[in-house]
Amino acid sequence: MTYFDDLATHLAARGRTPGEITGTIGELTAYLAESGAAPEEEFGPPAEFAAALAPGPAAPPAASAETWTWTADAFQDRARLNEHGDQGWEVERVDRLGRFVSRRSLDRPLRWEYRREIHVPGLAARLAPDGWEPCGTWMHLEYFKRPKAASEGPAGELADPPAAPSRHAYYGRRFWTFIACYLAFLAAATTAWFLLGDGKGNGFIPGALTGATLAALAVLIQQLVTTRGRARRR
Amino acid sequence: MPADRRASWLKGVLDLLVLAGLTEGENYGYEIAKSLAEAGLGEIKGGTLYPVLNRLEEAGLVTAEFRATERGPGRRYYSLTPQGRATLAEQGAMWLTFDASVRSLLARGDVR
Repeated sequence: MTYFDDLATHLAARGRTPGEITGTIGELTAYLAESGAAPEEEFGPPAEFAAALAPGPAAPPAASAETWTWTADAFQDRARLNEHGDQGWEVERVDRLGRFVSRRSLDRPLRWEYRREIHVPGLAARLAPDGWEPCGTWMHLEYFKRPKAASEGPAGELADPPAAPSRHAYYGRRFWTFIACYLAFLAAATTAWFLLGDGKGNGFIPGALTGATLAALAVLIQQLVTTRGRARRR
Repeated sequence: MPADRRASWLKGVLDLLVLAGLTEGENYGYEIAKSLAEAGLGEIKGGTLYPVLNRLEEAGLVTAEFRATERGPGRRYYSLTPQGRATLAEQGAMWLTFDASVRSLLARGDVR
């Protein structure tokens, strides 16, 4: 079997019609007559050349990075950012829900360090010379990232990163305590306002507000108990 | 497509551009990125630059010296090695030859 017989067989197997195959072989034969080279030297092995001439449906590009979106309360966001940054996670942006949209290269990801500042004009320009890049804002908070390679060189890369975290939210005890105290304060302040007001207040409104606050507290406590129960069972 | 193509071109030559930038003397990451941006190559983020610097250092084409700063954890200052200069000369010449061929062909298509 000649080179072109072999090529024709492979092209047919890849779905080319007899007419297309004849046209291709004719063109390649003419090209070879001009170049004077041997067919395999010019075009490579028939099977591989046929695959290049008649590729199948385009395969999706191989992923070069993994992604992970997560959030944390303001009491522990910096600690979590640096913990995950040390595992190779780079925050690309903070979405409108305050979540950190992160990615990690599959090949020797960089380790990252993070800082959080109160957003003020000109802050990014002041921090840039030290290698800090803005990576997102949430309300009045602005987050910055810097590759650890800036100070550690190749040691700032991870050869064998750990598996991606399974959690997507980090809410600690201090956060829930803060929420509970804040709601209790609102309820107390609202009630006091009506009680100590000019007497024209309607008792129904403070009662409804207090009830709603207590209901919200009950839901939060139930969430906390459920979350801790799940954590214990793992 | 244009952004992808540009990124693809830059990926093929960024290491040479970093080496070329160091011929004027040692420099550190932020200033290297800044000089590349000022040369018209757009913003080069740390996530793009530092893997290149790490590869150049591991290949012995640059050396790095850590220096503490008044604030922050300090910086690594990169310098070109003799091997780096030789590689820049050799591969830079290859790039210029490639560039001349591309320009010549584009000129035939009235792209100048």
